[in-house]
Amino acid sequence: MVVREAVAETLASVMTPLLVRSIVTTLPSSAEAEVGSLDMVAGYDLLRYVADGARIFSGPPSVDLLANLHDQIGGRQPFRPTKQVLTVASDHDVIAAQDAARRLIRALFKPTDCVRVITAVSELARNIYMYAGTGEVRLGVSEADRTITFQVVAADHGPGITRLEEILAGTYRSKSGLGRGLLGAKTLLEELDIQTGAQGTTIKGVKHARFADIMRAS
Amino acid sequence: MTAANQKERLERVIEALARAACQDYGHRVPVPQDQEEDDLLELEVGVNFLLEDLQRVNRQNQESLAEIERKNREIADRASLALRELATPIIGVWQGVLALPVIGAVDTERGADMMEALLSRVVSEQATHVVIDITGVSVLDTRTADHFIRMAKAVRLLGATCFLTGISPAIAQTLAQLNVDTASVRTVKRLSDALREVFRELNVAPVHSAPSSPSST
Repeated sequence: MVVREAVAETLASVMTPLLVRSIVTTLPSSAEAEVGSLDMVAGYDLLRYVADGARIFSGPPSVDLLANLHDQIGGRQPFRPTKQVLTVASDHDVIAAQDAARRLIRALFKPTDCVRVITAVSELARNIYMYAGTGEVRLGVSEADRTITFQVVAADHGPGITRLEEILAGTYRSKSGLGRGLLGAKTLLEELDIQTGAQGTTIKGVKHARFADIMRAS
Repeated sequence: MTAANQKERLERVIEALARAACQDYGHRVPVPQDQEEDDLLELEVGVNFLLEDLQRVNRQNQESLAEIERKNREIADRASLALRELATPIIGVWQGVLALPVIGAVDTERGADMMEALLSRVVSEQATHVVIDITGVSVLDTRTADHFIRMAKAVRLLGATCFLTGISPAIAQTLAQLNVDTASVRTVKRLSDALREVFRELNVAPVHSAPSSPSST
């Protein structure tokens, strides 16, 4: 069964056939995919699309309906994780990392959290460019048990971060702003794991969102 | 023709197909010159023709993909150039009052251009007030925020008052979490609020007072 049919079937239980048709006929092309084959970005974009359509015609859809819809188009499985790897070697790459993060999470987090996450990614990418020259930013989104997880890994082979403890305690301020960027990323995300040494630095950050929360906000 | 020979030839056909399945279209089923005509030969030659076609189409695909990619890059380059031209429109809203609406991402280069252009306009027009509006900036990290603060400080050093307007609630929350110190900048909610303040300071009375706070987006 393709996604379009699954959407139609699920909506049919709460809407009139005419409304169902008007929503289903305008679905984006990802709706032609087989049920269970969508990744996080395509899956949630589609969910948002249906939620918006439903809101126009019959008021805000309930979280339960959207959860049910998620299960139907996901084949009772979580959507496939989406990953992206970006090389950071210039100022432009920092903005490219912002854009990539925005594309990845715009349907997965509340607007305020989106800005937080994108800003954190920007800080980490900028640190790579400014202090290590080149490196890599790996972004990923996945879900399990109705909880969405965003992960960012910023890795470089730069000289490592000295005075890390002072930075994280907020007592160290470099002229260039490193302290604030890193501390900022730590505040904006939920966890920030920092491995640093002479071989380079790997920073892993995570942010979660609950399905019910983001769908209620939609 | 022996059965063993037949099996061997079939295996060669299968190998060619397997390689093609792994996207190696360059391989062909070997056919000896002196191969006598039989049904298997037809198969072997047929498969080779197919592989030939596949290879050609694949090459064409690759070429057009490369072409599309090249054009994409070209368009992106042109767009970023065009954006740079649009990057710093500085509007003279009133005598001695300049407004700088900032839209989109601010990288180092664009930031430097902006600073340069703004400061020279402040000097050439003897501006007393500058309003920097960042409604069109969706994300502000510490570095970019610093840039705007530095810009405001530089404007002040030239003797003009600088307002920062259009900070969205999401950005405000993020800036607070980032611990960015905006104490040195006069931040006002909307461009119109800043202008009202400016006119008050300039003792210019608008004929009609500005419309009172339509709900901001």
